[in-house]
Amino acid sequence: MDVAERPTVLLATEGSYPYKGGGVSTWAQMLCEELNGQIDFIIFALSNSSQDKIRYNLPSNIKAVYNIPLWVTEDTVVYYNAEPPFSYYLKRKLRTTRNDIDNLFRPIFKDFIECLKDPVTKSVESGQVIYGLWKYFQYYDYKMTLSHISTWDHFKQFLFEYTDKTITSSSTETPHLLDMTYGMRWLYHFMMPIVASIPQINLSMSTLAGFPVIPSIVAKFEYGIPYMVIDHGVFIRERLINISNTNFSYSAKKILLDMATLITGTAYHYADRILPVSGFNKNWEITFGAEANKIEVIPNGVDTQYFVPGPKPKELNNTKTVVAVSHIFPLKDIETMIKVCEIVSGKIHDVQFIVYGSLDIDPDYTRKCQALIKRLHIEENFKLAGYHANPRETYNEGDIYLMTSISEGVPYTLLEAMSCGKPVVATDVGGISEILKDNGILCKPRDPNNIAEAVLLLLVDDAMRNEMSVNSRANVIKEFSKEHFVQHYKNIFQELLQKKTQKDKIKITLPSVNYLLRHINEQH
Amino acid sequence: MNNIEFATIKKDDSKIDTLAQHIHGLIGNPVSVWAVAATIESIGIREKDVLQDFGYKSLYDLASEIYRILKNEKYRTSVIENNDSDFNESVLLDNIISFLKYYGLGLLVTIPLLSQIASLFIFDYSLWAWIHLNKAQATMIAIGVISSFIITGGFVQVIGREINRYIGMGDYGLAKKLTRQILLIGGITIICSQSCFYFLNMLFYFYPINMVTLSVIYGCLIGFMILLSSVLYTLEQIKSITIAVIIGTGLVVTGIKLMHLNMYIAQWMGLGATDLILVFYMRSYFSKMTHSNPKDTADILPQIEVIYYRNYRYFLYGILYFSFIFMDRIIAWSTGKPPTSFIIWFNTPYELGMDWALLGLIATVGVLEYDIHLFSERIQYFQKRATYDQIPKFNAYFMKLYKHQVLILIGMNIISVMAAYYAIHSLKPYGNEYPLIKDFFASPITSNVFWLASLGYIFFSIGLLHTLYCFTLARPGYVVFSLLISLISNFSIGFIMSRLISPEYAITGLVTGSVVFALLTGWYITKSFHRMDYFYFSAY
Repeated sequence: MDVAERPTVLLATEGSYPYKGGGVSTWAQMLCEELNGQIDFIIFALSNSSQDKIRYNLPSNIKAVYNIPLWVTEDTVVYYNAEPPFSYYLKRKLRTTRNDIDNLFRPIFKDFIECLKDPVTKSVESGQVIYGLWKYFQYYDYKMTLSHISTWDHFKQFLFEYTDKTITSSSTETPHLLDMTYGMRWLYHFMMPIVASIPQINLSMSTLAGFPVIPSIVAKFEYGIPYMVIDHGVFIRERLINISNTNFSYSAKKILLDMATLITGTAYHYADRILPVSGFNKNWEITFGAEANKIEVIPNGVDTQYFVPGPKPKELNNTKTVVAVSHIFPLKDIETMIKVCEIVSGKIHDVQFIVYGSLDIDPDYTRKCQALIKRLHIEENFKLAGYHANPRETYNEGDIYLMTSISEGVPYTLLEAMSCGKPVVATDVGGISEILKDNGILCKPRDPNNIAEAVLLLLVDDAMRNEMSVNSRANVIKEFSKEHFVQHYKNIFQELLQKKTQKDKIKITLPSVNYLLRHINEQH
Repeated sequence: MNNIEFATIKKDDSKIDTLAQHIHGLIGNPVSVWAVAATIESIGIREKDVLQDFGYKSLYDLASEIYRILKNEKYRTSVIENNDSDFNESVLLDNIISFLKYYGLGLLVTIPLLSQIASLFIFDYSLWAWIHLNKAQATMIAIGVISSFIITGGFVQVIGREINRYIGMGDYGLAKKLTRQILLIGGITIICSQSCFYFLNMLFYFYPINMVTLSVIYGCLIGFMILLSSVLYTLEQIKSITIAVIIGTGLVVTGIKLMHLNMYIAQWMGLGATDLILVFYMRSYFSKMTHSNPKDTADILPQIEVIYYRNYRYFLYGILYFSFIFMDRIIAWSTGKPPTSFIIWFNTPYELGMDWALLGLIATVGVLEYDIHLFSERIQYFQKRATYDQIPKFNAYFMKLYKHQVLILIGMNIISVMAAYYAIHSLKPYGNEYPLIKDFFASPITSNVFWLASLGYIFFSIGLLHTLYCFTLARPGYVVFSLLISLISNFSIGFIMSRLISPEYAITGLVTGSVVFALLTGWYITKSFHRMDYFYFSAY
């Protein structure tokens, strides 16, 4: 594949750009817009549904958006790309026979299962298996193969062997038939990107070290195209938290987490560069297989020309005001913020805490917060103001900006507030300390007294607040501006585009995959 | 994980226990130390806090300790007990209330039909029938009715599936959009098919033009009614269908009795009004649901080929189903001594026998509703409980359930047939007072057809039970194949017997076809139920 004059980058996302808002989408839109005219993009968007609507005005350098809906049951592949007619995929169905499934697919699937049994150490084999499966599904039907009886029997046997035999049958850890059924169906859904054909690209990148990285791994094997993983959060850490927190059975959780561990390790192993948005992510990345020398922190950037200091609204001019921009859900720990408000209002009676953000993300939690505000009798001081379309205005309503999250990456809202010259009080979690440095006050999470003390200090001490305001903005301009962020990526793109890479398919050692490749060369 | 290094700061066991309980409350039995570590971090405990707050050197060490605690028996109590005796429990009518509920729900579907029978008895009229129709009128209306069922059969299946698909996704907007498209195609197909019949008749002159005109108008109006009713039925709006049918019937009676309209005009008015009311209900429902369930989605339907591909087997099933149901009538009505006046000529005793037998079949529809509910409920229940080594028992359980369901169905069928027989037969003594009753029992053909048709319908209902299993397990292909073979058997045997012996022996085709249908689908079901674990997994 020749490097075109204007290189094309495949950008793979999951649950975000261009269908959903949020930090990753803001990042992606900014990157694509700023590189318009220099780099073209093709978006591979893993989504929930084939009905998702594009939420952004896409810049002209986005040449295509492939929607890969993971949770549609029937022939999802037809949604990926409008180009091939359905008959193209119908041919794959007609071509798929039990013989092919047994002889070509099953040995690779067996290797995949072996990788899943030991997800931490099997990254090398896993990459080869992913490539082998991709190659297979370019010729044979995905659904027919994965729902075939021999695939099912093999998966069932695997799950049986995978169970700790010392566990008694009454234990919660024993897999039940439902775990097997769901396990195999989940595999079917999560691996869907493996059916997508790879367009002509020069470089690829994934916004997380999870399933969206599959096309990048494949492109590396097939065409020797380098790829990078951008860790906004840490996929595996989020999966560990979210899956553990579900009501699924132990076995179901184990299957899902082992799948996630395997794909993360594989993503890191084959990646040319791993680019977390904060140093906080590094430990997790290294623990799950990333080589330290591939990691480089590139923090998010904001538009410092847009997010500028502005006057407070007249009605708040004589009121000490604390602003937060955050959806209302538990990780943002709004309950602690409410308790902070109670303490602060004891000293500054007319203080205003205003939280802008959707109230609909977790309605139960929102109700809990509303009840707490009522119980503490601070309805006059604490406002859940709902979503606001213009965040710049909201930041400038406050004297200070407050963040009480118990878990964070590198939040855009914090950078935007700082760009607007707002002094910040924030909990010291995730990458927040890397942004704030000495230009705000860091507090212990879930500690209302500690946070309230910091808020009071800043609200009362005008000199300190003014100094922090100036320094905050200066710091963002220096290190977290859009220009700074884009330049950083441009440098890495340039470096990787010039990198001479081998096609990893020549290094395949698994007999199952080599047999498939030989078969395909001979037959097709 | 085993070499936890303890820091010099003293550990606070009560804090650790509290944390362990908190983590257990969040994630239950942890899958790994990393799952515990990530969860601890997510609740705001940082690496830098663990030494001071808990006395451990690192967050991983703290997580290891919590993991060890949570793996103690205290926290690993069983949630699901696996008891082999579960698989041995009786499934024969184990839940009478549930049976009555679903049987009742199944019978609800027949309410609009029952309203027509009631109207016929009370007023002599219904939406498209009249007790005193002559043979020519009956023939043309019957052709209109039969053709409308066969033409719309495929669309009805597609409507049911597609509306359920999008409503299941909570997307009423797309359900509405696709419904409109299917109705449009269905409506055009009805008009085109009826027009074809009309023009073919002009070429070959099967019937006088005015007779065909009657048939075509009835066929179109009834076809539209079937299509629209199927939408409301899928939307579980049986009440709306019943109201529309009752108002339409009321208009027929009013037109004839009060306005002294010609019967055809009155019935077309009634059918037209029913269609319009159904449209009104359908639009109101969608309008209400799209407003109360707004979705900010792209509103894109899949490529039309995809919609065809995922529905074509169900579409074929719908057509074959009604072709099968009416095949014997067409065969019986197209022969006789002396030969029939036209290519198809209404045979009253035969039709009365078929209608009589239909009463028995209708009474068993509710059993199918219960059977499929029980099957779905049990499969979910046992999926959660069966462990790997219990899979053979899981499969055996469903074989047993299947056999019991067939037995219940046969039992209910026999009861229904006997009830239908004695209910109608009890009217016989009133024959002298009511000529209509006397006419009903005038020909021995009627009762012969009744018995044979009832026998056929017993087998057919078993085939329908198999069909419902296959559809629930997303395997329509074999049903279509079986129904096609059954239709061919129905036609072949019915044709030969009716021509060799007597027209009413066309009913032997229905019996043979039904037996073939029950056996072919039964073979597939038996095969599937022996591997129920696989068939359920792959039903997505």
